[in-house]
Amino acid sequence: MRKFLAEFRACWNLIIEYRVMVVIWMLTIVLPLIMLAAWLSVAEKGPVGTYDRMTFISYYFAALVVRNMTGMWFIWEMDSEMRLGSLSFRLLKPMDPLLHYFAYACSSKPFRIFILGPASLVALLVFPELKWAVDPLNLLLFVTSLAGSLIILFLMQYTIGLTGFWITRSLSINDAWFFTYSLASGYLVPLDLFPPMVRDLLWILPFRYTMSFPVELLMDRLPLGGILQGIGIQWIWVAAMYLLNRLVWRRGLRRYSAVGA
Amino acid sequence: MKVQISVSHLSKFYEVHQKEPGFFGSLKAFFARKYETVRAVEDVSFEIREGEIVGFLGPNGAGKTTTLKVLSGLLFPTSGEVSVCGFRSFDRKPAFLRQITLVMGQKNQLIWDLPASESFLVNRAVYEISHGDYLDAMKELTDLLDLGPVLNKQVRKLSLGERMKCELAAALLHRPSVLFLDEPTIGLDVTMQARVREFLIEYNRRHGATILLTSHYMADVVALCKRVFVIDHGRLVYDGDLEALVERISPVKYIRLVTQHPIGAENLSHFGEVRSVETFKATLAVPREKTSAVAAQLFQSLSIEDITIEDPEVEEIIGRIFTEKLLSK
Repeated sequence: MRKFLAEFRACWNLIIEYRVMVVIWMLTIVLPLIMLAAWLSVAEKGPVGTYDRMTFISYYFAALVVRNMTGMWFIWEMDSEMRLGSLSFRLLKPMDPLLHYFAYACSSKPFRIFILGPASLVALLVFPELKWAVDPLNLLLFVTSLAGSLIILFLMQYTIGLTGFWITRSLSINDAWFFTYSLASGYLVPLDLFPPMVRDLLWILPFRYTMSFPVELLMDRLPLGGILQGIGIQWIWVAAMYLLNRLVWRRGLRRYSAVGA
Repeated sequence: MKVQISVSHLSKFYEVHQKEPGFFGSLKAFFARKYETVRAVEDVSFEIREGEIVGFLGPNGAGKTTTLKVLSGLLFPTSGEVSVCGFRSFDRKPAFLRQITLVMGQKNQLIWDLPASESFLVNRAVYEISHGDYLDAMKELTDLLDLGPVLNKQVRKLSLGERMKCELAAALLHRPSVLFLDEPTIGLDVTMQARVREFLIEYNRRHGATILLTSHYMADVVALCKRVFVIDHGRLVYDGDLEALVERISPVKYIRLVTQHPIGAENLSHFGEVRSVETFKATLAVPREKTSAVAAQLFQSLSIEDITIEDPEVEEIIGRIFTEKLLSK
């Protein structure tokens, strides 16, 4: 834990160093807003399924919050460290590199909370009809679900990054992953709007639990039983992803040949 | 002194794929990749005792860095046994990692956009260094390397020499007992090179650390290492005293003389091989064991103003080892 905190502190200092950049990054998460604009024009003629205009607004603003709180971009750093051989230094330290990258992935979150918290409060005050359930219990469950989402996403991304042991360019896999994630997690289209068969399938896959689940939770669309079940499924996925990750890690290390003369 | 590093019959082969240049080369490589085995290190064995400083000599691509990487646990050996501080390197047990360090002069472990002191704090936690030990180590390193003025500057704004000092400090904060140094003085100016050398000698003296280093600057090796390994094409071709190596490769010494009267080659040729001669100055190459006798004769037969006896430059000797394959088995 002390190691994690030290790494976190250093990464946090980097974030402070680059605070303007982080704000710009936050502003570039516009995909939900584009989708929102599209659905709003569709919903003008009447609700789509159970989604009217206000539901769409609530949904995509929640998606924006969830993406900011769970999105991570450390795979670019990982890719360059693996290709340029500086991963070697991490392997020489008595600390699993996983901790470093996890600290790196988490480090911008306090900064994002600092900006998104007040922004959400303002949004709630300006649009009291926003369909968000913000009672303390629901908020607590929401934060818990965000933690699960963050860890699942981290393990997915870290495992993809580790494929760099074999193909030196893991970013191409990451592009394919992002496409799948955008569609299957509910980031682009609410899962409720998919045909029931597809929707049922997506409820089994891990992607829902990284985006749609916390969003549904915040929007009060889930009964308490469903919430607890969802959190349970999240942690089953965390365990499965962790096991897969360790397997890939051990295999990959054997293959790793530090680059450079 | 106990054996700190022991390597027996170490080999490391790589598979690399070949690509012909140009578009069609790429296309060909896409469909049918040709692989080639590179024998980076082949059947290398040696032992290093606690507190020794050993220089690793060899041309680019000879296998020096590969060996250091295997020793520090970064590369898995193709075959052979490697033991460092009683551990198998590749297991990379935390207890092992806390005892070693690897410094690569061409790579950077410090966090680029933050002051070096931030990297030190991370290392302090990672190596679980107690507060007291950390302060001691910081004080020692700050004194020896004169870090004071650079600690709080962002790493990217440091000069190469300043950065190298910080790299060394970051690598030694946990007081490792085995140091693997790959070109620790590369790109540094002469003063800074000397500084790093003095520091390494002092660190070795204070902590009894074992050091294995590679360098292209012969002055590093001469100043630091009594013992050297020479590696060529992945094979260890020499392991022993630097002095003995010099004697073996170059059985002559140079006598440089300055005379009061003009001299010519004809006056000198019976003393030894005349390397150069110009009016009052001359250089002779004389077999090592005869140098003092020849010097005495010169004094008797010529009016000598000044005389010096020198070893050939180690640089020159080592160069000859590789160009003339003097040690190839």
